[in-house]
Amino acid sequence: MTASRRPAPPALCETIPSCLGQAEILCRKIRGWMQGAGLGESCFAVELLARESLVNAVIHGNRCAADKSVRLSLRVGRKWIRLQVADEGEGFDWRKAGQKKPDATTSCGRGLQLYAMYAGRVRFNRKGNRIELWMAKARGR
Amino acid sequence: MAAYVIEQKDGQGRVTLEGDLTAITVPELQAALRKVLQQGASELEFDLTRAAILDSSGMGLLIAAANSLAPQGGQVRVTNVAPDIFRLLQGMRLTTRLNVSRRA
Repeated sequence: MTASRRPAPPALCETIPSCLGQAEILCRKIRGWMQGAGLGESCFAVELLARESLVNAVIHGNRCAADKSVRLSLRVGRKWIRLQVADEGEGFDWRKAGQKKPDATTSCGRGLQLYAMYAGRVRFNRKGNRIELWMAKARGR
Repeated sequence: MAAYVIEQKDGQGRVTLEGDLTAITVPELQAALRKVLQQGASELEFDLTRAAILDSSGMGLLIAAANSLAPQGGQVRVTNVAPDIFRLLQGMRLTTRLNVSRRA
């Protein structure tokens, strides 16, 4: 008897230069890709976290340096969608950054709060220049 | 093409977004809003009918506008918000501060 092979889970992998315009183009591509893959109900959360991660990588990670790039991979499993974004910057101390909680008058610093709201699992590498986010797939799709 | 339209009348400003309010649109809109505030607007409405997504930069712009208007007793209203954006603003505890109303 031959074991049946499962098809490879859908994935989107892209590398972009450190530029907000390119990040915007990639976010629109993710929206179309999610909808095309029948994952429209998870699309908002995935696009939002991809936007946050890409903008952080371009601005804070690579400091918009034209010679540095940002890598994104999006993989869809049976129950989870995994987003990974990595930049070539110096990283940051995510252990300390997570302790700040913005109030309703604070106009910045909501990125980590958004991750906590939409992702079931958030993991940074030690250096703080790569993030992995796991989001539960919306049910019934 | 600008990603928004700003109208002003009797101290009321209305900003109609032509699409999403995100990091790519915020810098230009922020500069335009500074002029509106300098001209004495006391209330600002942001119509998000055409916005499918709002990121933390967009939220920052809305909060900064509310902060600028608050000392004069002015306020921001965010209207015609899509269900996903409403849930996001609820989760961020900003619906009261930004006077958010859902899309009909």
